[in-house]
Amino acid sequence: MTDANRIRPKTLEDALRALDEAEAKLSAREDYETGIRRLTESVLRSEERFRTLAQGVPNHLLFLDTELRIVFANDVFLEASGWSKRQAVGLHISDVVGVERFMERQSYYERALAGETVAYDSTGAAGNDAGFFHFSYRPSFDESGNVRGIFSMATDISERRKVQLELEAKQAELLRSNKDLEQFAYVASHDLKAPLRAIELLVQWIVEGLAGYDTNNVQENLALLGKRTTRLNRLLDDLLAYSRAGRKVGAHRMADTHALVLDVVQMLDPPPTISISIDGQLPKFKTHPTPLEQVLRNLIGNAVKHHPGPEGRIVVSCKEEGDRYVYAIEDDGEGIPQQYAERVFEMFQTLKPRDQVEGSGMGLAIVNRIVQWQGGRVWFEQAPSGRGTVFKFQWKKNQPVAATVETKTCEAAG
Amino acid sequence: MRSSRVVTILLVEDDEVDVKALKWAFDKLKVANPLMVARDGIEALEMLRELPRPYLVITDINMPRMNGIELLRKIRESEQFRDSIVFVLTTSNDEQDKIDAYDLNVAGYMLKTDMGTSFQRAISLIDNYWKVVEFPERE
Repeated sequence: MTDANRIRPKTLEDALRALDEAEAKLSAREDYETGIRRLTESVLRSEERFRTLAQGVPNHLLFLDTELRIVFANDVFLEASGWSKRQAVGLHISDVVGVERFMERQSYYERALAGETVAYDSTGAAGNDAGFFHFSYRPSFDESGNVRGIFSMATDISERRKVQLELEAKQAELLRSNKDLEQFAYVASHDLKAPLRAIELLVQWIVEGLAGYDTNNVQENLALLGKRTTRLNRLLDDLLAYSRAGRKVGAHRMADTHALVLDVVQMLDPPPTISISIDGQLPKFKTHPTPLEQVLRNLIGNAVKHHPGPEGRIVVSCKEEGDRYVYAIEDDGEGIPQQYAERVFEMFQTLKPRDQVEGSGMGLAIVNRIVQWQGGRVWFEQAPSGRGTVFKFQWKKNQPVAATVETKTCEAAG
Repeated sequence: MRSSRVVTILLVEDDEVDVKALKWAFDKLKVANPLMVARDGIEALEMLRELPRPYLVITDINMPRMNGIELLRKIRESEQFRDSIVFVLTTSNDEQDKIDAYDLNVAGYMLKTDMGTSFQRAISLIDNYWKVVEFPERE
């Protein structure tokens, strides 16, 4: 007991009264202490509950004061950021996410500080710059209703995002494949049936011709019969090539595309009146050479086949554009009117009757499909000289090493 | 007054064998109308400008450059040719093609199905058609 509380009785009554008072004080003090203890326990329990909760969630959880300085950070956050609790507390949020990101997100913090609960998705949180996160800022209010800080929570939804993007890509692929199928059903009923029907007709005429019913030229009909059989064969081959485009892509390896074009030219064996040259040096890079070769072979082959002659010049070149190469195949042929910009890339489309220029009308459809498979685009422009066409396509430097699973399955099955 | 003039037939067809088949059907049925052949819609539009009236058009659907449906659309949009009588003779059994063709007021949609006989039926119908129906007097 302290001196101030020491009782100095004068009389017995005084002493008794003082004793009563002291007892009353003591009891009041005990009540008070009990109250404090209970309150403390309750706060501690609630704090404990908060901490358990804060540590238990798999998300970054911060409590920021009105200055946006860290008051509390959970272990998930500390682990991700690499800071200790001591280092983290007191840091301004711009030190956590970087000034640039902070500027982008500043308005969200301001809205939260003004009393609004804010949520948004964005790339990058502490210690994970590439991850995709869901952020939510929930203001915390004091008794008088003023914002005293913000609970900031960041949930890593990179996986969910990835799955979502994959799902969207699959859906787009499904839509495209459905459209393909529809188109296939349509063309199968026309383009594949047409030569077959012609064969039937020709056979009938030949039979009649042989029987002497009319003056049909058997020789001529037999020649037509041969041509139609070849055409049907070609259509079926190209249809198969189309369905495989971007599926069977072969190995991913270093490819010298300069040598590849030279090989293609040699295989095409163009007539001597048509010169094919390469402008500069074509690049060497890691890719799937098989589909790239298929694209180049089709485009260079087209330039040769559709050239009206007698003399022609075809130039292959390549330009680097960011993450892709843009190859160009320029000819000095007839040119293609811009109104056919889309149609030429569709299945079984030809600009001339097949009886004039034999062709399945699948070449550019195959090219389009391969180029799209690896994330690029193919198109044509009028040649700068004003005569002829330039076909251009984009080829990514870093392609997905895709379709290997399917290739494996095929190999296993084969 | 019954037009005494013979109807010219414009055939729009890219397949050489189908052209032959049609000519063969003409021969078999002894149809002697003048026959012109265009290889696609664009050629057909050019030939229409020169074609003496009265005429009939028989068009395929799947063709290079301008297909039969596109040709029909151009014909119906044109002040000069909108009254043309057009038959479709095609391998396309697609419902949408039939709907589009009749929307563009074709006189008939016929399928090339079997060997020759479908051509003969088509030609005999067209032969009867031009003999029975009246064409407007127009230059």
